Amino acid sequence: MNWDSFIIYALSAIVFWSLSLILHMIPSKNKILPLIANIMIIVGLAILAIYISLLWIDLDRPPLRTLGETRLWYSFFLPFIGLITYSRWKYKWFLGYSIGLSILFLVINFMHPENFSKTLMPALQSPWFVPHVIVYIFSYALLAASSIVAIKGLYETYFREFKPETLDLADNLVYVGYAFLTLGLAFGALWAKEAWGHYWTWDPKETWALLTFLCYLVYMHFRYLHKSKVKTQLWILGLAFIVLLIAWFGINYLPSAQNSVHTYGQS
Amino acid sequence: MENKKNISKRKLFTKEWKYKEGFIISLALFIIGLSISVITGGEKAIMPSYPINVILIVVYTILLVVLYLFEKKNKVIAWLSSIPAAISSVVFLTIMSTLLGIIPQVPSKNELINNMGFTDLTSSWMFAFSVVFILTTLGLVTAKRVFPFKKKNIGFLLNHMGLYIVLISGLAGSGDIQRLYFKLNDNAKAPIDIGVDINNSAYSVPFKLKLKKFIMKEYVPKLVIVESKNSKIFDQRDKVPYHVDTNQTAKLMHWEVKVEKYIENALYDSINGVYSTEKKGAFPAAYVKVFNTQTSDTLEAWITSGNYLTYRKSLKLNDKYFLAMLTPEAKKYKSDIFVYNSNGEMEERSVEVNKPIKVEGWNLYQTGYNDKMGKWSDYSLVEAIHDPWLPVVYIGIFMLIAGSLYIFWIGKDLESSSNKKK
Ligand code: HEM
Repeated sequence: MNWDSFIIYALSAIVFWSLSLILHMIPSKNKILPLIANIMIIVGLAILAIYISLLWIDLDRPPLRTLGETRLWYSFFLPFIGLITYSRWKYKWFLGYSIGLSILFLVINFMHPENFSKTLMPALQSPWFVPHVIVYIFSYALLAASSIVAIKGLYETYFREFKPETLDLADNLVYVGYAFLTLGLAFGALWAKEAWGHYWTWDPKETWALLTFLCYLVYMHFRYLHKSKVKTQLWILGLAFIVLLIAWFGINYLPSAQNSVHTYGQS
Repeated sequence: MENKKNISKRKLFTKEWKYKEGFIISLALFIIGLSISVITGGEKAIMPSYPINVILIVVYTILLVVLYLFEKKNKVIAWLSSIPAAISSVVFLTIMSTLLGIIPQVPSKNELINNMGFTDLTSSWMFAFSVVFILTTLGLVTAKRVFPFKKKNIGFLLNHMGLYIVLISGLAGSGDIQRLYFKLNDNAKAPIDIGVDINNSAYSVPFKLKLKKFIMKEYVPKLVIVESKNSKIFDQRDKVPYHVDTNQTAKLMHWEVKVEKYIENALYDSINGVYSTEKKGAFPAAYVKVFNTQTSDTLEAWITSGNYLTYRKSLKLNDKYFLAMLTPEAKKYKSDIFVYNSNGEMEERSVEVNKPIKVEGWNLYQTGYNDKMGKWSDYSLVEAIHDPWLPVVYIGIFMLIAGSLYIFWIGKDLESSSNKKK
């Protein structure tokens, strides 16, 4: 599996998704057009799923090791989350956002292809590997989405009229994302015990995942007590996004992370 | 809800406590913690071991429950079990963890920074105080929902009590955990029951270990193009590594490389050339044919990854580049060992990465080997860990997992509540 075939799969997914967004933009009275548009998203997802499966088989290990490989999973999960959110709550802009971000990840992957090395260090060869990483990816994608919602909300509060439903959407994303983050931390702890002998070692990636956990924890508790202080809630969510981004991408550049088992190696 | 003017005019520590008090308490705890570290010259906050840690956590937990039951009207206790206190303590821990996530946790050259505890934050007093603050709030708020117990609070209790249990048992456990390393030599005559901790102090254990065989499987090595001037691996645009076992031709820059023959365990000498062998010290070797698409030249030669005994053999492509085989990476390694339990019975066991074994209440882990020698390593490093608190920590972790499912449900409730509004 090489990058020649990646571009074929990625491009077909991008074409389907872009067409679907265009269809969604056309105002229509009947339900046929949105249905076709949603089917196109599913087709795009299926194409990416096939690519990931082929890659998995070809590498002979789960493609979850390098940054490029995890980006591939984000490209898959974002439209997935977008589609579910859209079919439940009908936020069109959110669908557009998630697909846009997904396409961005695919493009980055094409511009900066990663080492598709077959090797996987023994500590990562565990049944925990796949659930642990996928749960995290899913959770980060949801939490990132919630923070984007908050940024939209902040824009609305300062420049337009703020609609309270915006935060309802953010809440749903935070709660589900948070549940998955807790699972990710818990699975990580159980796995670390098997692999390294201790469930928590304050490895930088662990520390930053915990920080993300704590920031969204502050949001949830603040919102619970001060339902009406919308602006502060929005700011907390916006701030949490920065922490999330560091946990997600920034780790490799932190001075504390030189010996982390979690930094995505190139070797 | 609150009136803004009232908050800003409100005097500190009077009436109802809110966020300002939380901030001041956190700051005070931080300063006190820092002072203790500096005054004592870097004394660490370390959890005592059994039985003192048990007494500490039991007494503390009972104290929190009693305080809640009899003093819940007291404004300090009421505040400590409220969200403003929770947020203050979480923010305090967040700040401490941020420092931990940024500052490399290795001793600094600056003695003062070491003494202040910034290079070993997890055992600093500031950190300990932030955890105690969180534990206090978490304990009190849990007590608040346990007495009286209501069914609808189960989700809340799973999360808050779960976290309390994880934190407090993890903390207590840090006083009792024992980690010992056993260097099992290849040619050891007798089994050993003495391991060393990270400070190289020796301790004995109730069982004995002896290495039968250390076994490593390696990945097929990769072929890469290396720049002669700086020995850097040339970054190919698509960076797809070429594993030598493929039969296909690979295009590396403008060379087409084909592996004609691959030997996993090879040695070479002037008489036999390169030959396959099972002898110790063997390494992978490949006979490659290289076609230069620009000059139409063809080169062929044996190249090897080399190892601790023998130099690597590469193929010079031109003045700028050569073709090299990388040292193979470890795929799997394990130790077959003889374990003698306290009754003197012997058992043959296998310890592998990610597959620890249990012996007399200890977990044994495959941790390392002689890196220089790779698969021919002359010893295996096995780590033995005794962590009596583990079951308690696991109870907490499973409560958190159950609690996260509850959070999942809440998400749904929020949706329906906002639907009602519409
Ligand atoms: C796993 C982490 C946590 C989760 C998922 C969580 C979730 C929640 C939720 C959903 C509520 C709303 C109350 C309800 O559902 O009835 C709540 C309330 C609360 N939480 Fe947490 N929380 C967590 C950790 C913490 C921590 C670390 C603290 C304190 C340091 C804390 C302190 C509080 C307090 C004080 C309340 C208000 C309860 C009351 O006034 O009765 N929580 N929490």
